[in-house]
Amino acid sequence: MVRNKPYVRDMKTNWIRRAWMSIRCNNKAICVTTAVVAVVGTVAVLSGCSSPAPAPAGLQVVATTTQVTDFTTEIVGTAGTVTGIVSANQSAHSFDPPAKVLQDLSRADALVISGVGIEPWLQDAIDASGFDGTLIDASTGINVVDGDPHIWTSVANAEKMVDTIASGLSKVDPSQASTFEQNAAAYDKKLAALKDWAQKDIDQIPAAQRLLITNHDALAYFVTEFGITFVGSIIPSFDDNAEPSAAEIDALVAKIKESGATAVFSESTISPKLAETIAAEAGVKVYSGEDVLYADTLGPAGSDGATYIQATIHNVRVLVSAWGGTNIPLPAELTP
Amino acid sequence: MSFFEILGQAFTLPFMWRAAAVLAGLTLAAGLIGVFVNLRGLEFLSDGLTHAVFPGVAAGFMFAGTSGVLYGAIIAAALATVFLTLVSHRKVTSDAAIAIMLTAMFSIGVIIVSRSHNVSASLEQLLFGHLFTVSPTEVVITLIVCAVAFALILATLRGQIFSSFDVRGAQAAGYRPLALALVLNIAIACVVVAASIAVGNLLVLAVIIVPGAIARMWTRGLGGLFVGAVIFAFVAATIGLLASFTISVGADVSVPGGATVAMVFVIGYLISLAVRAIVPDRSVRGEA
Amino acid sequence: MTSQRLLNLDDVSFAYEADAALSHVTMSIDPGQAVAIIGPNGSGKSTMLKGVLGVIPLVAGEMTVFRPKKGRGQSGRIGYLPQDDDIDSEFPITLKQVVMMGRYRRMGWFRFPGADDRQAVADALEVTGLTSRANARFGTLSGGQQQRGLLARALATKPSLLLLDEPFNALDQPNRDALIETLKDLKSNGVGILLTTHDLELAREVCDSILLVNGTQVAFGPLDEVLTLENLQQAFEGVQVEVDEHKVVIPGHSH
Repeated sequence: MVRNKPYVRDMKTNWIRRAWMSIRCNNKAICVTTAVVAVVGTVAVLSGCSSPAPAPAGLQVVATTTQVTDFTTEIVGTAGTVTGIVSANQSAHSFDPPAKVLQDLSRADALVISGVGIEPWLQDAIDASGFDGTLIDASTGINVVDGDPHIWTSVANAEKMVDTIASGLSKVDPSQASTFEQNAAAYDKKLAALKDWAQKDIDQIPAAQRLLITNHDALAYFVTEFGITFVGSIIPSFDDNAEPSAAEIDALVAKIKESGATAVFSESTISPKLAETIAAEAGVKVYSGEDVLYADTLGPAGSDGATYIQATIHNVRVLVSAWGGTNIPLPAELTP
Repeated sequence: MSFFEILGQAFTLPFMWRAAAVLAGLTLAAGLIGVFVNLRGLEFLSDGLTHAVFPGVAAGFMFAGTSGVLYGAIIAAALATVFLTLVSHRKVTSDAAIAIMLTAMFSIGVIIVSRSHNVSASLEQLLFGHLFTVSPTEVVITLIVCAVAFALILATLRGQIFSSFDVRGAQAAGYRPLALALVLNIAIACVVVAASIAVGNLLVLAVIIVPGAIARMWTRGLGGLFVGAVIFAFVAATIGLLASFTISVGADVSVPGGATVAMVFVIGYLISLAVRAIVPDRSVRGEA
Repeated sequence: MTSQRLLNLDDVSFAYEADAALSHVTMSIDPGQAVAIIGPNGSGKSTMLKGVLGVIPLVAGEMTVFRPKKGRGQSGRIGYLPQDDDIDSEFPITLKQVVMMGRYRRMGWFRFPGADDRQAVADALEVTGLTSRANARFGTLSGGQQQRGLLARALATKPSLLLLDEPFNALDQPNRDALIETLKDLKSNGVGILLTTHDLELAREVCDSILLVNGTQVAFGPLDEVLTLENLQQAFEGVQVEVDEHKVVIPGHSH
């Protein structure tokens, strides 16, 4: 049906009508209703999949890396809530914080960081969340070598970090200072026992055979502490994102052959393929899968490396048996 | 209602307002400009511009650290725009030229990245967006860039429409198609840079292409095309932002803000396609 | 109505890249006059129109278009109907909006369409008989309707000079007659017309003068003076033509 309407009309005041006229749909009521339903439906679905988080009471502490989260949890115990930002097997070097992390930060009384620039995304997250609590830098007072941020890999450093965190938290919440100090002291004892055991276990291997090749340069402090020789890393950088060039790979393979090393160790946060390639080139064994080393992060709950102590024990055991030794039993304090 | 409690929480947090501001500017500009991308089939050119931004980011970081990233992106986008405009205005196949430029720029970017190891964090930010951690400075820059893009197209709107529909007629009427194409491409480049901040370089195309494509399915003529695209973009972005917040806070599932927004755009497009396929359309012929 | 000459060319040549060049054109159009450009394929007929518009550059001679200072566009006072349409039939635009494009130059970038714009559009649609399809999407119109739509766009400009490239091509007989009537009306209102065609009968109905070209001007002047056997042989260069009561059949001439 063709409508004969007068063509020129005053449309200026009639823009709603014009918008309606411009919609291309045989039954406009259906089309517009569908659009509205779609929007309302989405909103309704969202309301279904969420439950409210009431503003929490008590001391709220946020910690960045898995290691400092572990330390902080040991120190705080039940005296407050500790939330970790970086999760297991996720790299701390680059990270895009989701809304929940920012919300946690906005409510936190204290933020514990590992420091030495291992969290480059941190300043942006602090700015975005409006965090106004106390920043506790666990790396305070630690001797940083060559700007390497993986300070926790040395157990002696770990003890210092624990102490720093405890005294920081005591200033934030003085009413619970004695609890923090007690927890920290107890944990420090375990760390001391860990260091002893690790040294004994490693000492059974002659120094010349303690050869370490890993994915990236993450274990320097560990290596120094326990008298291990670091042959080289596949990614010649502290940052796990770089790619080695062909020349760099060749150099590493040559170094491996020259050193007489028998193993290459992969890490939990990095794909083992590169390690496997180089190991094949150099004719040595690759340790990956379950035998992977925990360097950048701890493992997920229930895994072999879920806590700092467990992860270190796992690392030492893997290394020692790879080098041909037999692992000595754990002391009483460390047996779970 | 639990949902509204979470919503209430959302808007007490300053980072949500910043994210909302960035998205508001972006959707306004992308909605308007996306219509022309759709009308003139410039999707591949937009993709080329998106990839061209990457070496600018890497170089910007090398020279000036994290604050140099945005300016590097802008400069790279500007250079690529001029190159692509001149090339695609010839009678040579512009797709080939775009493809060559796209891969060349991207390779340069990869080379720069592998020489300087610390760029990866900034690079990931630009590739995947950092909607929740935009700084106040970035918000201002983004809004300015979007405003420029919007103003450029609004000021040349009639010429753009004419030139998109009938190039020779536009030329005959006294418009200059090459100048108009350059203005449009600059506007696209602006939106690409702004969108890289919000949803990330990899998902820019979703924000640019989808609103125009949807609006086109539902209007007979020009009226409603632009308004429809902007409205869809704004609503979808808002839903995406709120969804990302709600799911992250409520269900403790980590969903990046930018990707959620892009996801909502795509879902909106699929819904629109489905409804359009079902609802018959006989009104295009202008009959009752 | 002004008696200012609308168009004056003095030994003008146009040339640009792949377009057919045209040289040594001397002709003029006054208000109310209609000129038909006739010539074989590739002789530069379309080039002539584009040259007047400024789309193809002038490389020799002197051209005066009725606004002596040719600024950036002629403010829509020249209407143009292009020959072939590269027009996307899926483009979301209605016929009414296409015709409104003819008013764009007048409106500038910020003005909304006013009452006089809408009236011009309505008039143009009525004259071309398209009022009933005003709200249809342009791409759904038939070829002939689309051409009339583009003509309406040129008319909506309220031109003083109308340039039409092969306007009779896609039209059937009734529409041709309507177009002839329209053009005659425009002439009587003082509009100048310059059109290209190969249909001499139609040219004769509407036009007073002929411009005969073949890459260069062969002749210009009143119809009977120009259409001599000698001129036609020169223009169509060896192509067999029959002059029978001024009906020229040009074999193999197709657009």
